Formats: sequence, C-alpha cells, structure tokens
Amino acid sequence: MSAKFLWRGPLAAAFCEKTQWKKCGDSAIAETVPGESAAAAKRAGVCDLSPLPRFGAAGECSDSAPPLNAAAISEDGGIVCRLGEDEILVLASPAGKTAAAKQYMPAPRLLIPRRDSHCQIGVRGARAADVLARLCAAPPPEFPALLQTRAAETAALIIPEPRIAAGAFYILADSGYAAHVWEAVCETALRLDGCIHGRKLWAPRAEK
Amino acid sequence: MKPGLFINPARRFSFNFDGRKISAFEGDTVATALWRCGVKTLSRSFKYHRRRGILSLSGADANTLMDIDGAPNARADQTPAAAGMLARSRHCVGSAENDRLAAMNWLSPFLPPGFYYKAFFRPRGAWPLWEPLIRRLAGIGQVNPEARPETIEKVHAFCDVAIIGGGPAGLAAAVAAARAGDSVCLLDKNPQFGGSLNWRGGGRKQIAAAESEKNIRLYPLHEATGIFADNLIAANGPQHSLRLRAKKIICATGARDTPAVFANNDLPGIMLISAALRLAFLYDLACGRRAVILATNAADANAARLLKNYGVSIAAVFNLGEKDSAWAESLSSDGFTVFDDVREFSASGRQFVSGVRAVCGGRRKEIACDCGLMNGGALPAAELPSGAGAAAKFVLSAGGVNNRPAAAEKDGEAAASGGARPPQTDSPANNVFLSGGGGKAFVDFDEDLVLKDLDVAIGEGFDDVQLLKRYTTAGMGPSQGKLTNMLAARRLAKNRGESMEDVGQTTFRPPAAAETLSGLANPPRPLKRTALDRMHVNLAASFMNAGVWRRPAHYAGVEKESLAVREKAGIIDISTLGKIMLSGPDAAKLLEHVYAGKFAAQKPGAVRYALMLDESGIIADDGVAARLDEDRFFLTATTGNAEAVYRMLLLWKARLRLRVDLANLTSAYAAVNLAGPDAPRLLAKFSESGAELGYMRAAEIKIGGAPAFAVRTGFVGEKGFEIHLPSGYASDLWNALLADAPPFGVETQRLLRLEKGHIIIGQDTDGLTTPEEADMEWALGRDKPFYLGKRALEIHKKRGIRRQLRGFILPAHNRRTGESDLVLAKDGGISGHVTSAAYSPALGRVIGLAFAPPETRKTGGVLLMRAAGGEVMEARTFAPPFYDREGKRQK
Repeated sequence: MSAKFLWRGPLAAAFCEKTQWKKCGDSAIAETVPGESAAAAKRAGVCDLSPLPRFGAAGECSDSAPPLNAAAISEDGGIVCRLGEDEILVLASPAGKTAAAKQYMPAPRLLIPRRDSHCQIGVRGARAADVLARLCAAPPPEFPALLQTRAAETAALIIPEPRIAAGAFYILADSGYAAHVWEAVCETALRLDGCIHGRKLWAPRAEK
Repeated sequence: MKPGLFINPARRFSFNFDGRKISAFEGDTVATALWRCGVKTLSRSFKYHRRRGILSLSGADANTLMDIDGAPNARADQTPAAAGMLARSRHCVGSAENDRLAAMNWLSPFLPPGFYYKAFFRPRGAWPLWEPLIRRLAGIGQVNPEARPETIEKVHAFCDVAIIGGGPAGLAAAVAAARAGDSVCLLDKNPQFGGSLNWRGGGRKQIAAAESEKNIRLYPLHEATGIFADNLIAANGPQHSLRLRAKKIICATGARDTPAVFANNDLPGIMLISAALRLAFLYDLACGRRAVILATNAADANAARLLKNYGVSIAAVFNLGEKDSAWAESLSSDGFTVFDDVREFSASGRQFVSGVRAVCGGRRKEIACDCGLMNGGALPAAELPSGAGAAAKFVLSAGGVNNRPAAAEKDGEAAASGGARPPQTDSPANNVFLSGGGGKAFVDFDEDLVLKDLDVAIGEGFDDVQLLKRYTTAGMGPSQGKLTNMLAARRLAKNRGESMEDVGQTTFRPPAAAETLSGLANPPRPLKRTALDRMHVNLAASFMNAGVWRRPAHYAGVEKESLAVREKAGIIDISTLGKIMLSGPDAAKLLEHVYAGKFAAQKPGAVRYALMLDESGIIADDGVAARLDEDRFFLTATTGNAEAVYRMLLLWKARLRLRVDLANLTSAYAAVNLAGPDAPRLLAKFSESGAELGYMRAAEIKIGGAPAFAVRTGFVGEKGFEIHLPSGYASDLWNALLADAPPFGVETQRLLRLEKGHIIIGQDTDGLTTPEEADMEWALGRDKPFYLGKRALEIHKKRGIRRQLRGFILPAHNRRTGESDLVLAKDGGISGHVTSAAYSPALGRVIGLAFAPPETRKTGGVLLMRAAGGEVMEARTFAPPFYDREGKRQK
C-alpha cells in the first residue's frame, strides 16, 4: 500500500521555496513568508488560511445559532456562520478547534467538506476595507454580519474577524478559483503598501 | 488669487503633438501645454474642417478631442500631459495646422442638415458609391487595431451622502453633512477642490474645512458619469473606475457658460469667459493680450476685472444682458469700455481671431483683438440629475443661475440638511443670436451646426424640440449638448414665438462624460482550475476551455495516449464533473422525479446511468448515480451543467418538500479516472478495496489514507475506476498513479468514448435533441408514472422525428475529421450535420456521429457530407460501438 496522502491546500503552490511551513493537522500551513513585515501587515496583510479546518453542516439549528447571514464566536474560538435556514459553516479557531460548533447544530444530517471546496484567505489591516472595495461591490460587513456575495468576479463569502483590532475579514471562495482570487487579493494589497504574510502574523488577539 | 494653481513650473517635460515637440509643466493638460507653446489650433471641425481651439476648457466641448497615446477621442483639456506622450489631432488629413481637407468649408451649401437624406441618391444606385467616402470622412476618431485588451480597476465606495462637485456649494454641503454626523464622499473632476473659488478667492479656507472633517472622504480627479438606480454613482477616477453608493446624493456641479452665436464664433482665440479664467488662474496662461468680452451678468463683469488684473487688456465689454444693468454701469465707472444694445456682432480673422465688428445702439464698432470671450448665459450643469430622471424647470423670474459663491454655499448647506432652492435653468442674454458678418455662426461646435441650419430645419417642419435634435443632430455630438441644447431650444422658442417652458427640453442620458470601454469592461471571467492543474502544467499539457474550467486537451498527443489506454492504462483528471451528494430518506424519490431512469429499486453499491430531460422532453444532462446506502446517492453531472443540475435538484426538493439534503461537492472533490486493462491491478497497489468492484458498482474506499468514492464505469470503453476524493489529496493520488499510468487529456477521452459510441451532452446533442433522436430511449424508465419531460416525450412520439444520430465511417484514405460538416439530402439540401468525428488509431479510420434523416439505415447506409470548403464526401453509416462491440473490455 502507498504512504499516507498529504492534504494540500489550493494555494500551496502559490508560495516560494523559502516559505516556512508548520504542521497543521494532516496538512501544513505557511507560517512565515519571505518579505513579510508586521508594519505592512498592519496596513494590508494577506494570509492563506486554507489549511485550517472548516466544514459545513446541514441540519436543524439550535436556538442559540446566529441568525441568517450572521456569525457567532463559539466557545472554543471558532466562527460559526449561518448560511441558510438549515445550513452552517464552521471556521476553526487558529488553534484548529471546531468542536464547540455543536452547540449551534447538535445533530447535523450532512457534513460538507468546506476545507476542500473553498479556500480561506485572511485580509487584515487599516486598509483591509480598501482591499475589499476593489474586489467586491458590497459594503464591508461588520461582525456579526457576513456577506454571501461576489468578489474578484466569483462567488465569495466575506466573514469579518472581530478579534483583530484594525479590522480583518476572511474571504472564502470556490477552491477552483482560489488561485485567481488569491492573485487578485494579493495584487490589491500590495498596491496599498501591504504584504503577503504567514499565519504567525495573523493570529487573532484572543488566541495570543 | 495666485495664478497657476494646478501647475508646477519647476518640473518640465515634453511630449509630441502632430510631430511637434511640446514642452509642458507638471499639472498642465495637453490643451494648456499646447496653448503655452502657442498652438491655438487643436483640431479640425467635424464637417467643414475649420480650425478649432480651446472653447470651455472643462471638457464640455469636442474642440479638444484628439488621439492621445492610442486612445481615440481623448479630451485634451481634461487629459494631464505626460512626458513622452504622443498626441495627434483629428478630422484632418495632414495635421490640424495644415489640413488638406480645409476646402470642405466651402462645400457647406451642399451639406445642409440631413444632407445624406436628400442628396447622393440620384441617379439611382449612386448612394453605395458615395456612402464609403462619406462614412470615412464622418468618423470621429480612429480605433487603434493594435490596442491590447485592458480593463480598468473598479473601486467601490459607500457613504451616507455623496456630493458631486467640489465648488463652493459642494464644499459647504460636505462640511454641513459631516458635521451632522453623516459619512460623506466629495467628488470633483479637477485635481484640486474649490471650483470657481479658485479664481474668485476664498477656496483655501473652505477646502481646509472639508479636509479637517474626519467624516469626509475627498475624491479629486473623479468625474461622475452617471447616477443610476439605488443611488449608484459611476465616476472615472485616475487609473480606476469608482462605483459609489450613497443614501443621499447632492449634485453641486455648478453652472456653465454657454456660447453666444455670431459669425465666426468658432475661430481659435474665441472661448467662454470661464475658460479664460481657468487658463489664467489654474494654469497661469493668458487667453490673449487684448480681449473683447461678450458679457451677460455680474459674474462676467467680475471676470473682466480679474482678467484685467491678471494682465489681459480688455478692449471692450459688450453687454448682452439687461440694458443699463448695475454691473455694466459699475464696469463703466471702473474705466472699462462697455457697449449696450448690441444688434450685430461678428468676429474676423484668418487663422485666429483678429478683430470684431459690432453695431451697438445704431453705431458701428470695429475693434482689433486677439481674443474673444463670451457668455450667452450661465446654465446649470444638470446632465447628471437629468440623466437620472430629474426634470429641470425654467424659473426665469427667480433671477437665473446663482453666480455668487456666498449664495452657492447657502444652497449647499441647505441641500445637506434636506432642502434646496429648486434648480434653475437659464440666465439668458437678451439676444444671444447676433446677426451680422458673413461667416458661419455656430450653435453646435461638435456637429458643425450653424444657426442657418436650425432655421432651415424649423422651417421644414422639424419644429418640435425632439425632432429638431434628431434631424439636425444638435446636441448629439461627443459633448452631448452640454453647450448646445439650450441654444437650440431657445432658437426654436424664438422662431415659434413661444416660451421656453412651452418648447421644453431634450433629455440628457448617461454617461455625462466620456467613458472608455476599458472602464466599462470587467476583467475576463476567470477559468476554474482543478486541484491537479499544477500537475498538468508540470506535464506540459496543452490546455483547452471546457465550460468554466481549464482542462488538459492532451499531453503526448491523442494517438499515443489513446493507444496507452487501450493497451495498458491511463489516467485523466475528471475533477470537473459535477458531483452532488443526496442524503435523506427521499433521496431516491428526488432522483426518480428529476431523472428519466429508475432509482427507487437501485441496490446500495449499484451505479446507474442517469439521463435528465427538461420539461419539454429535451436532453438536458447525464451522469451516473451511485447508491452508497439506502439514503445516500452520489451523483455526477457533466462538466458544463454541474451548477444547473444542482439548482434543478434544489428546486424540485423545495417544490416537492422532500426530506433530502443536497451538497454540491464539485469543487470539494477531485476525481481521477484510471482506465485501461491494467486499471484494477494498479488500483490495488494503492487501495485495499475497490479493485474488485464489478462494472457499474461503487464503494466508499480509503486510498492513501484518504476517504474516497470508487465508481466502476466504462466511459472510454475499458475497465475504468472513477476515484473521487477530497481535492486536497488529489495531487498525491495523481502522482502515485502517474508512475504506471500516463495521463490522457480531454481530446483523447473524446476519441475513446467515440469509439464506444458514447455521446457527449452538448456536443452530440443540442437544445432540441430528444432521447429518440439520440437513440437513448433505453435510458428512459418507461413504466415510471412520471419524470420530468415524460409528457412532452409522448407528444414528440406522436409527431415523429426528423433526424436521428447515426454513426459513420469514412473510407480508409480519408482522414478529414470535420465536426460540424453538413449532411446532405438526396436533393442537395441540408439534412443534418456531423456532431463528432475523429481519426481512430485503433480502427485506422475516421469515425463519427452525425444527425441524419431517420430513414437512413443504421448500418450500411450512405451519408453525403459537405465539408466547410465545399468538398463532398461519402460515408457509410455504422451502428456504434465502433470498438469492442461486445462490450467485454469495459466489464
């Protein structure tokens, strides 16, 4: 039998050889990226968080679930997004935790592999909203609101990350368009004096 | 005010205009740089090839249109000059200075409005001879065929109050709104805010007030082009297009001078008064040494003083407004020569204006000048609200357009708080149409339309404002009537002896300013890439577009790849297949309803072909449905229809209120088809289970530790395993298989399936193909009481069919593979077409599928086919499959 397959994110090929990787479950995440700087990240930082766990679930939501098109922070630091009457999306905490999402949907009927279907790109910094304004025709949402919209010519979810002070959000786009969306986001952030950085510069305050 | 607000004389550069080197200051527009270098003729006119120079210096006329760096019809008075720029004048053969078609000016008696409706039609058949010449001369600008496709970035912004125009009213409105707690976006097309304050004074303080407000975002160099539904403003910005959505919009676009109409009013050197002020105070350029002014109101009088202080000698001011008005008397007392009661007026000059002649109060005047400044009445720049559906109203008694900055500020503040003075449309000269002189008196400079043309058209019966516009093309040129519409309406009112209110106005429509196609166009739609895309690049695949996806067409050539699959094994990336999971007690019920086949009795582990029809019985899609357990199906759909199939399932789930959850796994799961006689052996190397699966069976397996679905099919006519697994694991699977099974591409797959006679939906079917036509009736659940399209099929059956898909083989010597070649009937007419054709290395013949008359024999019949070049070939029909007719290899 062959060796175990490694899970590779849709943007893994976008990073150069000098990128430092860190194990992340059955995958690896870009921890630091050559050329990144904290100062530039505070202006407009872009980070590939695709290897972090996330999943979708269809089933009956509990009373504590957020309303449609809104999100909530679960007890273990994950973000639970209500995408439909009976559909949620769970983004793991930066530590990779998702278990607490059960409080919002105790008995899911169907799990949907959103880590494979979507890339997850983090955008942060004082000019994060300006980055979004160049990619998306909808105004940036304020947590707990989220957007199911189009960005960079493709369907996308925009989910604010309230734990990063200067403003941050996640863009989730179809993994088939991941390379295109990544290129568009990075190009925009770089034009606004931002940078591409690793997960190390991303971690929300609550996780530090 | 300090002159030259927009320029920086410390930084100089040069560019090229009509082959001449032009030096410019930073901040100059192309037009002002030319003026600085003494170039007064910027272009030639549309019809008569007359010299044209600066008129409005605000983008409100077409005099300054030229080709700049390959962009046709750029407005030179709005385009910043840049080092190395290449500018060319237009409407000339040669250059603007030496136009070999200047004699067109003398042909004007033959070119009245609508001349193309009246002349060149006789003798009969003459028009086709004239038309090419007229069209060549009539074009505005030239598209550069070498231009590369480009798009301009689109930037979105949102605010409570959007204010268009950063003059006194706009600045005051912005500050008032911001102080009331609103978020404000303030747009102005100029590089600096202030509008007329930049020459009247007081602008710095107001601009500083706006800049200090945190709630105000300033957008200089942003020209609004339209206001659309739900308060969406489109604006051209530097290097981007702005889409601004606001809860409230305030148009503070101010007023615009309009031309007076007199003989030779288009001579270079004759311009609007406001243009002269812009030249002086924004660019530190004198409009001339000695000017004559046709003034209408107190603002014009103030302009005369400002220009005199700047250093322009004012030879005379002709009062077109009220006789003995206070502003005229004030000018007189300040030492200006002012003439009232202007009856006749004309300008003269060969290349530029050199003097004017007038009759005032019965006395003839002749004055030498090198510059004529005019204002036939200030007019609100109301294109944006008018284009958005707002109607302007004539309120002449209210005193006309506000020309006092202090009052404009009050208007701005009032607008910010929700109330404003009603818009007013005209502050007219008593007589803006001045007779005298022998030259042409232009009403519309864009379209070379003179006063006489208007009078002739009105006299011919085109005496409605809408008819007049369309017949004479007044206001239909590039500047869209910004300076013209009111003049045409006023002339019509005068000739009809009616009021302006009775005559009415034409409507402005967006864009209010020129748009570039790159500003309107979105970037090309991106193609989806599978999780294995990088692998294909590394293998030097030739790519093709398949629906929304990029797919490898082939790697080593179709022939080599197909033989590898037939002899041993090959792998193909089929991640683009639609993949849908149905989970719930009603999953089978949903499939039974939407698909034509039977699924209720399907055993877990079994795979069935699934044919989808639309409600009119037309083939819509196909795939396979694998029943994983009692309540779960894994369904595939074609690459091009994955989203549509998913939506269809969602629709019927909701309509029938079925207990089933659907998940579109198309992007979540990658898929590889391992096909060939060696496929089971190779799969066994990587997976403990799956290799033993029988034909049309499926199982959930582990491969490389990753969860996967293995579906045993035979689309390419060999033993095949479709392995569907989470896309993150796909590259390891691909690399593992690649050692023993070379890749094959879509083109190879198309050949292999053609050898088996398997159709491809969308290639071998079209939007009218029924299952009977495609010989697919075997896929219908005949004893099912209902499926989508069933009733329609019964009707189709009664009507009979006119065509049927037939296999064919070409003679051995013929290797032409013309998909879409025509099938000919006996009488030479068209009776069908080829849907698929390819050379089969396994058979040594070209094989294919074609729609042919249903009476054509399935095997042994003759098909006459005509290729694109007209060549007629004879093919023999052959009932597929062409290869492995017993179907042993795939099982």
